Amino acid sequence: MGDMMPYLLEKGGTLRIFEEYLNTARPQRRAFLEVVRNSHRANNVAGQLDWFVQGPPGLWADPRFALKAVPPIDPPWTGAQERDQLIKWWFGFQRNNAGQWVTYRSPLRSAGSPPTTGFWIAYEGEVHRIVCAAVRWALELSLGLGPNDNRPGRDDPLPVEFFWKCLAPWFEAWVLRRPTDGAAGKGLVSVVLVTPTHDGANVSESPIATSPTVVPLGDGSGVPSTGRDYEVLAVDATPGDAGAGAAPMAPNRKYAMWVVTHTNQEKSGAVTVIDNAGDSDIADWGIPVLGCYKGKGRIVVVSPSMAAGGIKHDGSV
Amino acid sequence: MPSPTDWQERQHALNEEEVARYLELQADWPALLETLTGDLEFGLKIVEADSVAVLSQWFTATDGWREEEGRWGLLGDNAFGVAWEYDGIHDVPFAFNGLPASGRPVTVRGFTLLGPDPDSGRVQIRRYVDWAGVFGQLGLTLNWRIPVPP
Repeated sequence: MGDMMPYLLEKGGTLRIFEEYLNTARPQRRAFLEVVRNSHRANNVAGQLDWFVQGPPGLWADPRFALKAVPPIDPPWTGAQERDQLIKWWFGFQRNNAGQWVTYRSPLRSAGSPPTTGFWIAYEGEVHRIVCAAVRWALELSLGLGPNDNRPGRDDPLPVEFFWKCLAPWFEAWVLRRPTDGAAGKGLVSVVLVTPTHDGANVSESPIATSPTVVPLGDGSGVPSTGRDYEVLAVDATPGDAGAGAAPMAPNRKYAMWVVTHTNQEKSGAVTVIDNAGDSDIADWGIPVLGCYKGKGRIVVVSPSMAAGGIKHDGSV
Repeated sequence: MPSPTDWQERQHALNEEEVARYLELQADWPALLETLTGDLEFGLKIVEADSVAVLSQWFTATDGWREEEGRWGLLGDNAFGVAWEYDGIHDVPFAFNGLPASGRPVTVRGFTLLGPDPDSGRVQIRRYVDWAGVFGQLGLTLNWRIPVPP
């Protein structure tokens, strides 16, 4: 989250760790809800960011953030660094010399271009407040509480899960709730962060991994990797489909994100997209085509590695 | 969208006599260039007809087409160019790449070049249209994620 995103949907390590710290027992979750509510009501940046700076107790001290210390992130990498990076690139703030969070807008990309929040392209908005409101409502739903309900909440809070979907013209968050066992009142709350594109946001033309790591070859975007738990579902499989060292485990996975698509997306050769000013007869012209993709190859079902934005089969980080 | 084959009926820049004149000259660039040298306004009308026949499929004219003052005429010794603008409204349902009519006003800006096909000598027309500006006015955004090989 925040750096590599080779697919169009992602969970990845950061959101998975965040989920773990959010999905606590009622007392801890209820206490954190109050922190989030206070930030939601705050009328200054410091207060509005407070819930995220604090995080659920222990979140930013989790040593597993060090696992992200692969290029272009230099080791050692800590939760505090991850937090500050997210506040800068996602929320659009950075610390001034006094340590206060002040507005960060991406450098102007061209003369006259409007400012953009953090690293989002062609978008300016109060992302920190959107995310805060979404997390607040997700916590309240998980506890069975209304927006101004001050009761303790249900004894067995519902689990909350997070996903990041890119691309959209603006930033919004979806909070979804569905029952998993109607009779027992159990359910699941899903938060989908739907975002604009961002700096370095190239996407892979194929869900099939060809690299042992997600580290890109110098252009700043991630690539699908054959990291642990990467898996190609063995539907009409041919030998070698599964990533290196990845034992097929599809039916037994407790956690998975499966993407179903062609093995490759290719620019259609039938459409000329490189010259929209060619010579022609009078009135013989039309709307330019910027890109037209054609799904090529067979349909595959792929679970990305966690480094590439997926999740490990047991939910671990 | 295919270009209009009925361009003669779709535009009002050229009268019947001028249409016949253009049809006669379009296969003979030197002859058209000679005509333009003595009648620059005819070149303007050709460019207007070329623009309006297509743009009016998508955008009903409000203030319509106009050349930019002082920014048109013979270019070098073998071309004719016009900088132009077209004001319209996006009110034609599903005509512009399938978009529902947005009702939004649109100003399309472009530059059109008349010149010869180097092989056949036939008149060819090239248009540089500010498409990004058109897309932006309609509220379209660009997908800033480049698909790359893994």
